[in-house]
Amino acid sequence: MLTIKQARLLKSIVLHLVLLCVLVVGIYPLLWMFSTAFKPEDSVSLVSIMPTNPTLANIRKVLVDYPFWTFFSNSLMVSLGSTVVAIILGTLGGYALARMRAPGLDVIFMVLLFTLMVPVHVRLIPIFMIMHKMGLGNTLLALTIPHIASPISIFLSRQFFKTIPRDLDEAAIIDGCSWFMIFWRIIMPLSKPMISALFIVKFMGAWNDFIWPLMVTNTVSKYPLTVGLSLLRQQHSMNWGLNMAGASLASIPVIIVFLIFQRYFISGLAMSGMKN
Amino acid sequence: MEARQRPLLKRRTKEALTCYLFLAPNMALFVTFFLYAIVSAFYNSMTDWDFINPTKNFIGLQNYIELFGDRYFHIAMKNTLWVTAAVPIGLALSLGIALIMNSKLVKFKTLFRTGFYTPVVISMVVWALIWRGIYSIDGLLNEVLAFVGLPVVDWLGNLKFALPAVIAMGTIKGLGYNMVLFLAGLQTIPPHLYEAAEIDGANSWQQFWHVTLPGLQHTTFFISVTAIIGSFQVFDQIYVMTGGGPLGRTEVLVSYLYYKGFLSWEMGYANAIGVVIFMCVLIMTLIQRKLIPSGTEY
Repeated sequence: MLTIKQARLLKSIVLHLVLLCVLVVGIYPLLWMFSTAFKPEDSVSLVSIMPTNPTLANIRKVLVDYPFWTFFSNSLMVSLGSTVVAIILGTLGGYALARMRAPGLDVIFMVLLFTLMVPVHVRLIPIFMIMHKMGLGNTLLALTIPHIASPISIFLSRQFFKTIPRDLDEAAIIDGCSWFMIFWRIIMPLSKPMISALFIVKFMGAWNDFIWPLMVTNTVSKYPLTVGLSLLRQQHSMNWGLNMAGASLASIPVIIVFLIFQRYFISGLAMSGMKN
Repeated sequence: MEARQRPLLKRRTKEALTCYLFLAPNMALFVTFFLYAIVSAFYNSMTDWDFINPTKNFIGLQNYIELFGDRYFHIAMKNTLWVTAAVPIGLALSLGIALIMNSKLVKFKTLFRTGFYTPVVISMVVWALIWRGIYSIDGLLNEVLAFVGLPVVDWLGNLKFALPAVIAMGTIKGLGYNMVLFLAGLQTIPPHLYEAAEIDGANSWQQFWHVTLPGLQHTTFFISVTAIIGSFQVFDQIYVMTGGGPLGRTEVLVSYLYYKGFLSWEMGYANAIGVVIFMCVLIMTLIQRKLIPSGTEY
């Protein structure tokens, strides 16, 4: 018969083993990706995560023979640009909704709630046409603008600003501060955690977006990373080393950013959950 | 009196104008990319517009009637519903992991959480590229199967296994996301409820059934509806891994929309598919709104 202490220990070991198994299923694919990036093209084993005769040839080929840096900078510009603008516009709008009074605000709020429910796929073709009519087909702007239209930013800002006590702005009003000054000097500094989380949610959404750039871009020089990687896969379907070199290079920045700013990823998750 | 009211009125007007000014860029974007876009999708779904031909004729519900008889649309719908049907499996797994993570006996929680969450932040395109390798005929999965003496399968080329294989890799990617949400839900359940249940002599299964599950009701509703909505929008992994094949066995609604709209340029028809996706998602969202009482916070 086991003592209570022994039973607890046994249970603890079993629980850890289960978690370890799940961890392996989630992480092994990533380790496989990194190691395969270093496997020579004629490597026999697709399976191991320790490459025999590791080589930098795949990485070099992706960086030199492929417009990898073009894809990378396209992704970076689109994601950074759309995120920054979406946050500026979203926080301004959220501030107006949370603090100001004007006729018709409830209608605007209803419109906002409705837009939150609309999936992107029904809008893809119409947005594609709008971009073409504006003469923006196959441009980085066409990749950026749809991400700027972001009901989540304005909605989450409004919700967050409502939790900031009004006493602060009332004191500022008495001091003669303008609406914008209150927004900039009082509301924004108090909202840094919310803005960081929002930044991550928006940035990741744009960075990982695939179907929209796939539709709207048609020259290699305008591809973001996701579309560039799928091009690599089409041209070198069976060259795993090359595919995984591209995938690794595309993922390393995301993983590093995640490891540093984990806290905001998790709170961003909780926030994007809140939107519903 | 009047002298006082006038500055007040003036201030109110100024406030309203500032308010509209702050909201104007957002509203312009929403009106263009949401309201106009949706009206345009509905209108064009009732035309025979094909992008190449400049004339566009209004044909009423013709596209929808055609859609009802379209064998490939049926396949895409059926496959999408299979993705939806697999949602509970993923949720049950995530809940199980969350329960373990919530146990006092577990150490290294931060490490595990980081590990589980890493696949969530990777793009689906990268994840799909990796799993193409794992599922390939000489890939990792087959190596493991051969090791335990099971037959080798060409997972993504097999008529029976291609869709389950694509669903499974998506489920694994999403585990961390749902787990973190469940874990947050678990931590809101007051510990004294468990203490009370223990005093009443409830075993751990009864505690799970009568304390944990009711306590997670809102979290579960939220996660399941999010996941179901997500299941109607699957595309990236299909495009990268199978292209809808073999023989349409992994064709889903969005990949069919892409095919109709951007490979055969039947824009009117593709818009009709988009409207169907919209309706599915809208119905799910409205059900969620109905089921979850307001005032719950996540």
